[in-house]
Amino acid sequence: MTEETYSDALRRLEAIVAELERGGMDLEATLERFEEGSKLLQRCQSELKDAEGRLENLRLPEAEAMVDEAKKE
Amino acid sequence: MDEIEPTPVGKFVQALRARLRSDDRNQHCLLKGEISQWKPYASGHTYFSLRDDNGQISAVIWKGRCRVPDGIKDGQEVLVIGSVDLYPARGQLQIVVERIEPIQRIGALEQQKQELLTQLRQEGILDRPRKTLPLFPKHLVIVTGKDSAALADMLQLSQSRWPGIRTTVVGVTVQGDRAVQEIVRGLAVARNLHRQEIAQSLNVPPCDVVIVGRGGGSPEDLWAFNLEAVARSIAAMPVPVISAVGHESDILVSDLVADVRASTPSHAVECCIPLVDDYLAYLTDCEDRMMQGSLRQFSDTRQKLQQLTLRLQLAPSKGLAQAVRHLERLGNDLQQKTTSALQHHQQRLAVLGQALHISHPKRVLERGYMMGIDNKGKVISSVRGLSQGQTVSLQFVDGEADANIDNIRQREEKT
Repeated sequence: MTEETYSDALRRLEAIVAELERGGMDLEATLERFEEGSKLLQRCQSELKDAEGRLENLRLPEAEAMVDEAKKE
Repeated sequence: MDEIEPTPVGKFVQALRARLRSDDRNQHCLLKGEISQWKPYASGHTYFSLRDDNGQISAVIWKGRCRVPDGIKDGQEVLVIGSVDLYPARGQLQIVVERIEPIQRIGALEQQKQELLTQLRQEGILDRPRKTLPLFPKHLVIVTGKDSAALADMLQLSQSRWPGIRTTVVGVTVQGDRAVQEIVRGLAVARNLHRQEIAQSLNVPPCDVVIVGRGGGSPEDLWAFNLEAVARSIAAMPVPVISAVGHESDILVSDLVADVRASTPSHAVECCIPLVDDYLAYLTDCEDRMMQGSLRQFSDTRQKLQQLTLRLQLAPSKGLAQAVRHLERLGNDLQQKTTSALQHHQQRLAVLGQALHISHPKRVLERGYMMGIDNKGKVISSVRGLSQGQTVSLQFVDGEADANIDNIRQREEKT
């Protein structure tokens, strides 16, 4: 998921929550929103939890060499 | 005992001058200070005071004795080589300048900085729209002093906020002659890591945010971040750049061209790395609210259904009772309205009867008047239409009598 779609997902989720809290929807619409919201929620959560953070602590010449190597490929 | 002869003051001053000039410590001194009261005279000599916070001394540059650099003015820091002399005519101690050089330090550098800012502003670089930071960056590149305390702080803080972020540190020299070149090259690495094909080849997400900076130091130490090459490199970055140099009070050109200015390196991390626990808590809250909202919708729907069922079951009997009540109400209304209408009419009849009684001709006859009626039975209300010899009937209250018309006298009508 890209940054834009993450933000979009969060915004859509917030809209759904607001809609469900407002009430006045029929059963079918409620079920639809709930299902969509649950999927968005999972996407957002996994985005944060499953991100694999790694650290490359390089000196300038090493960093440049790494980039140069990648350019050759 | 010999009397002590008074010394003429001029002789005394001359002697003093000789003693001062004969002491090597007073000759060709190297002094540092600030110019004040700089006065070039038409004669070609220049007078000024050399001062610092602890003292000052008058100074003179004799015409032709030394080269005077351009642009010297009050406040300028200078190095002076000169000798101490006493000007006998006024008894004034002064430095006779043999050489004077402005010190090219922060004063001059500050001027270069201002010129660069003017230039960048003219090019629209300072006023260009800034890129916004990603909500959750994928790949942070930090260009800063290798093995610096600032770097250690940033990495520690970053880890505590969101361990999920990918970080590449490019350790560079941040002060001294090589600083500018290395910072620019470090930024070039970040730019490359942003390129899709390079990121892909390295199997990392493309760099989407950059922190460039260093910890605190003297103005000279931080100066690389005030220079044009660094500024232009930051402005040309395709991803948002956070400038984080020194402390809160240090504002450098890099701060002014970057997309975000952080007051310190740690602050830069706070700017771009989310507190992931906050977000997870927020998502959990969203989940709760969604659940509650949905449950309420379901129970609302169930309640509505129950109500509908109940109303359906009750409908027939309830309807009948309602109809009866309605009819009863109608019946009552009818009676009431009829009664009142009747009463109204009776009253009205009585009033009319009264009126009729009063205006009946008979009542007039009772008061002594009589009424003439022609042979067709019509009341005669005018002499017009009467003819001589015509027989009319006169009606009295108690009977009638026939009469013949003898004379007819019509009154002239008054207009």
